[in-house]
Amino acid sequence: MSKFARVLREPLVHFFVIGFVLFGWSVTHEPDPVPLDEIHVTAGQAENIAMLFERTWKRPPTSTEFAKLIDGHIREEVLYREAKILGLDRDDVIIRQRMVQKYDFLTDDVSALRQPDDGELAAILQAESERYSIAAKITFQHIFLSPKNTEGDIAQRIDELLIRLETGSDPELLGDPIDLPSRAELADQKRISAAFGPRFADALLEQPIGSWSGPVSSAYGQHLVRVEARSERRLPDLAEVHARLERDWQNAERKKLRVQLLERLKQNYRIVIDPEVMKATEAAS
Amino acid sequence: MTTHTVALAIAAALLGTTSALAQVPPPPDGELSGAYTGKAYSPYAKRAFPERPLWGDSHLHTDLSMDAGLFGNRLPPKEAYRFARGEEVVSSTGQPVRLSRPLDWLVVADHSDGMGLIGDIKTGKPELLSYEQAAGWYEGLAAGGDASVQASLDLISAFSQGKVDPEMFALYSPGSKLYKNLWEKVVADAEAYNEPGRFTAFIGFEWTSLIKGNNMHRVVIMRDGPVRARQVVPFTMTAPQGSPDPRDLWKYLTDYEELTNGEILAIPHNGNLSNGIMFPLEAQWNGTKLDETYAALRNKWEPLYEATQIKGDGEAHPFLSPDDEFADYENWDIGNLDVSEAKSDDMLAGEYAREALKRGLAIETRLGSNPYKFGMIGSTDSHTSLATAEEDNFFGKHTGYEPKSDRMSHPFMENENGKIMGWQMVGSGLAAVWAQENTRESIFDAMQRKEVYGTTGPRMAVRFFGGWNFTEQDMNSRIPAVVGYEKGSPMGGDLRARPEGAEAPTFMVWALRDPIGANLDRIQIVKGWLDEDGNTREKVYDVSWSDDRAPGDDGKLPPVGNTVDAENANWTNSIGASELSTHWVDPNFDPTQKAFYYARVLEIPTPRWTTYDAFRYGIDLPDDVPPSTQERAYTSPIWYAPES
Repeated sequence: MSKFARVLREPLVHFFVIGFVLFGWSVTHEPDPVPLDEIHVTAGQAENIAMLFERTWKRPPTSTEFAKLIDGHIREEVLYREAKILGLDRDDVIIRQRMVQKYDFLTDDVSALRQPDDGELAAILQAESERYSIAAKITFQHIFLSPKNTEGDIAQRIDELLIRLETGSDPELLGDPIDLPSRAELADQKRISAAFGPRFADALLEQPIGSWSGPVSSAYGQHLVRVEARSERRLPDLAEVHARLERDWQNAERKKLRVQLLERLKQNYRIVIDPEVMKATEAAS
Repeated sequence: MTTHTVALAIAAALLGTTSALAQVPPPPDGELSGAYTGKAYSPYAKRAFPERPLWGDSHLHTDLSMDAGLFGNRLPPKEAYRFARGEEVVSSTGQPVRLSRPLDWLVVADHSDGMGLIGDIKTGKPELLSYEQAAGWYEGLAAGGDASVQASLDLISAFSQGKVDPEMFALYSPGSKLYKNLWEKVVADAEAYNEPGRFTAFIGFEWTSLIKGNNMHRVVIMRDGPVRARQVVPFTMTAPQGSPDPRDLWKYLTDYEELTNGEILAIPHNGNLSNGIMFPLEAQWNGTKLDETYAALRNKWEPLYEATQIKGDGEAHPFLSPDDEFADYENWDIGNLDVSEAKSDDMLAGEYAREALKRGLAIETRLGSNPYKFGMIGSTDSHTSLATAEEDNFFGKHTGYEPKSDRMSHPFMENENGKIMGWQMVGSGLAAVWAQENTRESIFDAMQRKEVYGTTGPRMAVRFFGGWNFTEQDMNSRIPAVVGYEKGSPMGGDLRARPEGAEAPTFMVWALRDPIGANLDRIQIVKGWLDEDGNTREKVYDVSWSDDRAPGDDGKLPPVGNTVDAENANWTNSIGASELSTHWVDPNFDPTQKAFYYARVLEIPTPRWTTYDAFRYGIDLPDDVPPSTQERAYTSPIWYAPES
């Protein structure tokens, strides 16, 4: 990777870029210098926040939710003050939320400066393989044994069918009719599940390849099946899901940058949380 | 006669004309014999018919729709597509939600009037804030708490009373650059999530015609992609650019096809809230008498009807079909869309699908075209951006009715003419399309030929064929659908010309239960016809059913039973059948009388969404709320016309 690209990756560089942009703004807006400011989260404020929550949800927040609410409040306060310092609140109509939003937009714009490299995308692919994996594909034939068919018991019918299959009968002509394809080629396991039911689709993964086996249950009855070929569930190549990974990466980057920036800005403040409030948020961990 | 001789004979006949074909010299002997290989032995080779139904919602609203935004929807089209494709999203009320299975296709159909306006007010778009009205609403909404509730109410009443700043509203109407850009974004979003073969995202919108509170809405769907779709903007109902008259909508559709060389169609819904004007018999609501043009245009542009959705099931009504014990299913029949006018019995005949299909036969005799020759589908009309139609996963009509403990006991609509309670919302419906490929073109073409059916939410696979010589043996053939297409017409089609000596039409119908759903109770075939006096008639036949039941002395099949355990919101598949199929012949056929036939499939009773709510929130179900429901599917009809 080029030195320049490496430099561009450094989050601190982004902060400098933001800083430069905002500095340029501030030079024209001439804000006053501000000393280290205190953000005090009192029990009273915390109570108000919890009450607002309860009004919407008709129940008090859990400790996890409460901790998140307090975090959100601190975040709002930090970014609000930062935004005010920069004179982003000049217009009467724009209020607190809007200022925070504006700040977020700035960071989002910067996060779009970065392009992911294949290494990073590959890492995501590995870490979240569940999400990106391609389902198994199965080529199979089946013979349906309808519960409505009362000629003999099912074990008997299976035995007879297996004998006939062995002696060369055409499977297409055996068994009971049903409006499902009698043969599927490289069918996606999800699609098999949608047509036959999940149990059948799962069972196909266990059947031997190249011979008739069963009975296997579907949503409609029993089947004899013959799996001809099966490709395992697999993780796609980078090239196959490149666009999707890029999109997901950008979403994640944006979120990550916001968190990092917040941590950096919080260092300009001494944040004091009242002990009762502190105890309540700690209960979340 | 050798091939050569035949060719010469043809050429000789053709030489008598000046057609270009006469220029083609006859091929040398034997050359043609290899050209047509006949039917392949393998039934899978050269297959040209659909193998599985493609499931979708043809009618979904996102935060772009004014009413959705006003009620709190914060999910843009992007989230709607992600949800439909099977991903988990967070609803507007902060609840995680996911479909049991992805859909195959989706139509995001936001209201064209004022599209995007509410979202922009909420985010304080600068161009809007210069309007005092918008600035006030924005401040209120952004402040949260009581101020935002007040602002919402203010907004809603301003719009419903027409007191919106006209200049501001014009920004969100056809003609403005802003509206054009908004539409381009809609088109781009659909394009981004359209994946031929895997998921189809249609480009469309909803034309929201309201005649004094009477519903005349249509969803408009384009077959095309962005190149054609971007050449127009949606049609609205507000003059001067728009109009509430369907004739003007059809003109817009004609213009679209002429301008872009594309294809487009319209699907009406909620006849049950039109107070009788959705399916007129003699004249439109404004007094204009129906003429051949009206009938022909409606026949051309409206090949489908959305017969079931959250705001009521519209297939049949007990007043119109007193002999049909299943006609009273989820009827919303107290008034029109905003209950500004109460319903009277004489309105019902212009509102329901079955009656409309019958009226269509009569109008065809009178005017030459059948304006109500439509296939049937279901969809949600959900305003939450979430296409939920399953009872155990129902997120309601709009954000105010997303799951919460009291959603069923609030009135959904209420005034001096009556009220609709929250529990009356229906967990319905979905559209199934028999298309060969999951692409815009293939699905649209299937809609155009009406090879579709609707359900009230579950995914039963239903096939229906009509022909003149289906036999019991055909039902036993290994792949009956092959025979169906070969010897007859699928749902949505017309019966072929009646052969000499054919006594009555024959039908084949199958239904497979939803593989993760409930067993089936029965299949019925609904017949409608025009009798010798020019009156329309109907009859419902039970043609296939589960368990050992037989029709009683009254001719009715006994009910299938009920395994629903309401307290635990559960049921068992110990009754009913996992699949039903039958061959059926019309026992009362008169070849001189026009007719249609469609299949209705009923499941065994299952818990209604209200029962799941009661269970999950630990509350009591109100007395007037039924604990169970029998979900159903309606196929598109097959029509019969006597030779003229």
